[in-house]
Amino acid sequence: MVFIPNNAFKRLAELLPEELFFNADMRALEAECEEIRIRAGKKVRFVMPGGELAGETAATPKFCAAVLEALSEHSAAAIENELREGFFIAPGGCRVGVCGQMHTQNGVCQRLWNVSSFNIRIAREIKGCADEIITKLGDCRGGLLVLSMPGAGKTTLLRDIARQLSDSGLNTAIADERGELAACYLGVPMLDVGQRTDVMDMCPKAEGIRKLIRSMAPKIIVTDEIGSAREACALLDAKNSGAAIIASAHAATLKAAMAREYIAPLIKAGCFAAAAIITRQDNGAREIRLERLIV
Amino acid sequence: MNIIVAVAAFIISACAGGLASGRIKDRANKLNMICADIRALGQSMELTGARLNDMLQSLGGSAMAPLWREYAALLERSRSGAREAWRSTICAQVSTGCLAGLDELDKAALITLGDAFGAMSRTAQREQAAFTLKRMEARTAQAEAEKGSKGKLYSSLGVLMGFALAIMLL
Repeated sequence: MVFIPNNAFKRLAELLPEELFFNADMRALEAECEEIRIRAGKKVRFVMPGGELAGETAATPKFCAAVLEALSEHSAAAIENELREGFFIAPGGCRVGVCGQMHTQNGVCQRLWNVSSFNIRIAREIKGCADEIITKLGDCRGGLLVLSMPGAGKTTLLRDIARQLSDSGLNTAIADERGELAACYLGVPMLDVGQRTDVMDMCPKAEGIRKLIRSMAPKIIVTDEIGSAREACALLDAKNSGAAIIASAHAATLKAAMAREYIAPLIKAGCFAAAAIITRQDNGAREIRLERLIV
Repeated sequence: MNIIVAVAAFIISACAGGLASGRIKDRANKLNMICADIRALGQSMELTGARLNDMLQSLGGSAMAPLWREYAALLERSRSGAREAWRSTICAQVSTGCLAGLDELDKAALITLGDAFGAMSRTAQREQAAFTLKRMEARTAQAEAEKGSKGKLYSSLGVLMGFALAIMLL
């Protein structure tokens, strides 16, 4: 495996207020930090593989406003729609979840203001983390389902599979509804997703998959976190159109995945030839187990 | 000798009048150019919803380009907010830079554009830019009126004073 110097973290460190990192070990953060949590009135927290580190800075509402301004590159108005959805992509490709005061009209979210919480997920690529899977499954043309609990590394694994298949000569398409797989900034992937990869960024997955199949003729469709009937339908449609499906879902085991309403029909329909189940130890170490799926 | 001194006095007086008149014309021209740029910014905010840096770059070809370049550079250099950076840029440019000649009321009106840059929504951004534009257009109209009246007055006064001095010296 090759650990890439984290440009996403470096870019964040350039943008964010300096006091956020006061007395912090920047090298350790760059190497390992997974999330930065900022909450108004509370101390900043850095989520590391082995646990959390509390920063020395306590965030104030003014500090939160400065963070938003920095991460939006002084253009909060330009990301108004993303803020309304509760997240946006910062320069460098990090996904930033936000909370605050939502202005609603007739029950419809209109505008988020007074942003008071941030969850900055550091975009990280681990090139080679899918080597074992690629070795065992080849070009994954039978489809692959990646399963794990949240935060175990599904997205990182999917990204590396997409990169390797794409670089091996297969046209690959990513339906990236939440902008985490390719970490697109202004439509351009910030992370390496391969030479032959097309990314439909921020588009609802079902719509995105249909558009990709219709217009980009992919051999492989990659998407994150299947979670609705529409998405399952779109994936089935993609499979019937001849594309291989590589997708992920929240589930600790294959049995748990089979119990999920929208995953079981896909497995039964033969969308996936194998499942990769990621488990994560308390110390942050990950294990990937591959199971063949027999329909 | 007296003739030389009289001619010199005439030239100095006429130049001083011309200079005073030029300052008034220059202020009106600058205000006109800023209004044109704010209009372009307003359109950019309305039609493209572009990021601030892109909007500033799009003004690179305007006559007031140094102002927008300075602002973009300050945003990049310092970690201050869009409003504070705009206020600092205006203060610096009015005292020594490309906005020299603008008065305190012009400066105060122009500083309100910072609220558009730091706005949280496109609607607020557009409305704030429109508000600033309205104020700047009022300042421009006042400057134009001043240019029409005082501009001519100062240049004529300079010439007349020059004549008077020259005659007295002769």
